[in-house]
Amino acid sequence: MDARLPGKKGWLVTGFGLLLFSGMMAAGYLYNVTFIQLGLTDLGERVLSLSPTAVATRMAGFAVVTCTVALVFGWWMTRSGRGADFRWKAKAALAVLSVQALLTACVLAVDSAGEMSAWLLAAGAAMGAAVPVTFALTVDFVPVAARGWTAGLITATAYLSANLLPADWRIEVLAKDMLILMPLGLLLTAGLAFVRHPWIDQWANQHRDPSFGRGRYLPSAGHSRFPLRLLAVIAIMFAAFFIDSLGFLRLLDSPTHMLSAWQSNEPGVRLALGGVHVLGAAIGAVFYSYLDDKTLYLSIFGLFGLTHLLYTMAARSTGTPALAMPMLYALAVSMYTVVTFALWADVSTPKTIGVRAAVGVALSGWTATFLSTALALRWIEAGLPLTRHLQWVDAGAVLLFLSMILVIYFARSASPVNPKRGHI
Amino acid sequence: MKRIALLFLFAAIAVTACGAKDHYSGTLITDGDHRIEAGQTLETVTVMLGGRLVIEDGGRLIGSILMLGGDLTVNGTVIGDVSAAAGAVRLGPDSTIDGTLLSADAEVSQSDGAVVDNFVDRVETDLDANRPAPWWQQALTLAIQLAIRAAIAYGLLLLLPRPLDRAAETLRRYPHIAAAVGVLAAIVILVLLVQMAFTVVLIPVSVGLGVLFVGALWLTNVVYGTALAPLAHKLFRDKRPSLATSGALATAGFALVFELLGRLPLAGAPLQLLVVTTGLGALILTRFGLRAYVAAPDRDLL
Repeated sequence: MDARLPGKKGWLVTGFGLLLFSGMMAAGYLYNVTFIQLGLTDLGERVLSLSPTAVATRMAGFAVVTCTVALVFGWWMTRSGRGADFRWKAKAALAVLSVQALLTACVLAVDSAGEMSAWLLAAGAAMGAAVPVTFALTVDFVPVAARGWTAGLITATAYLSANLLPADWRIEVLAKDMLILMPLGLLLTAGLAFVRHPWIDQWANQHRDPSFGRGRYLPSAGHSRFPLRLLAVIAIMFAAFFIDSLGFLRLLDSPTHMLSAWQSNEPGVRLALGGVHVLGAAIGAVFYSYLDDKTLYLSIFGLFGLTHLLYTMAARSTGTPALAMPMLYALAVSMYTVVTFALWADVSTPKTIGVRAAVGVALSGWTATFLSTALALRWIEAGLPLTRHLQWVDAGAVLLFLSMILVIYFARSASPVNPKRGHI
Repeated sequence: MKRIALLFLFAAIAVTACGAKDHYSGTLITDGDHRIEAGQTLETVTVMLGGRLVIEDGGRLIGSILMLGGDLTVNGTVIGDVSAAAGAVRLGPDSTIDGTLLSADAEVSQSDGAVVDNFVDRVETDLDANRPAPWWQQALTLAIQLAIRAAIAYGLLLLLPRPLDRAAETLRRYPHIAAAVGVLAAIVILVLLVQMAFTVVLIPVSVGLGVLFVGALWLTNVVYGTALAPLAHKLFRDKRPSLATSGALATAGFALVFELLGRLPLAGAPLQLLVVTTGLGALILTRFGLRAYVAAPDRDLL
């Protein structure tokens, strides 16, 4: 069934939809990595004078709420068949975005620990609903063949923007920046939800086309391989997020590392980091599109291992850390972010995308975030020095890297290699 | 072979991951501010490529300092030689250099009271060596280089026609994949080689792998030559030259274009880097030509 408008116009509409979706997802991710992850920490520590432990505990609670709501909402979406209803998803996205805009606008009114907890509870619920809804739109906008590249575009746009924004991580500045972006998002989502137009009708029907609606990892019969293989991927993504988060949480606490990289006053340094994120996103897109997933995961864990090794060695010596470390870090983070944006739609159909995106993002991303936060806090409270902390992270990354090599080696020994597969 | 490669990889990673604490004492400074504070003694050989090193009053550095750039301020004591090829050396009134201070093109300022065991200022450099050679000499050098490359390419294409053809085919069909793999591999290999060298224990491995890496980069010339061989083939019209002949000619042609590419302002060097890493990617994708690479979008999930 061809859901497109006839001729070249149909392809043009698909391309425009793809760019629109990429822009919206990039803006959403930018909101998450700047306003949520950095701004709320600033709100707790600087504005409300809470201890870093108190703030991190609340952020872990926020992750639990997000995870729970995402799972429940995603399950309900799939059960009620809403995952295949484009207009409903657009309306849900509009509702979520409205709540987030409202919460962002009133964040500066928060002036006590209790109010911050309540704010985080509401924001976690909104974010939890946003996960299955926005990820489910992938099957409407992005053809399967273009998912790697689209994920690369989203990742590159989000991280480049995050690095080009002024290095001011104060909640006031971040809230203002987000409130400038949000009206445009509200307008676009409202258009998708309520306006009748041939272009929007095409987007609403594209998921019926197998080139959009059937993920690349699903066999041609249309039945998915859930849950065993999906669980294996979730476990790997969990490990990647966990390693990243556990290391980065401690680096955030180390001004030497942050001021010479992500929080540098020199625009050139931040631009270079943004450029490396773009490079990492492009490499991730190519790897996701043309190479087997094992090569991709090996690269990610290998990079994490190498990066933490550099940080560990630098932490032992005196002096300013070299820019190579955050650059390698940025490369690895961009690569796995590409996978996050592309993978869940590729293991789903329009009917199952809600619950699978929720399970994937919640169990791999959010669970890893709050577990690593809890562990990092425990280590900080126990007085574990930075060097030792990074050594553990490094050991974890190297262990995962070596485990992946062993798995691949024995898997290949057990079964003949398919010569048609694109692997290194 | 696979098992040996795997064993080697494990051993290299395991030893590298150990960090080899206290088993190395070299310090490489490339950027940033570094300080040896009063009462602190650091025993190390220091190489400065950039950045700033301050040895405060009461601080001691035991070991030689080689400066190729950067800014060294001494208010304490250095027990060893300071060889400054470039950069700036400032000696405070309470500074002591217990060794030779050798300056080539470095800027040295010495306060009254600074004690230097032996100061050799402005080592004469052969300025003529920096002058560009006449055009005919440059052209001759380039021609000889191209001839050598073509001869090596000819020999390699006679010996290893299929592996080179596989890598060339990958380069022709999947340049974007080769570029992505090559860029990532080049970044990781370079960082890994430097890190391994820092552990001292792994210096031989690092040097060995470094030689292989440089060899692989050089081999990309021949891969490009092989990929462009069909173009050179057309120059012969009715005659039918062998792959080795057309490949050797194409390698020389590629090397010439590559050389000219490097002369482009601003974009030249990055483009050269991209070209070389793409070739490296093609070699890696085909495991140095041992098997053909076919990209397939319909893959299994784990």
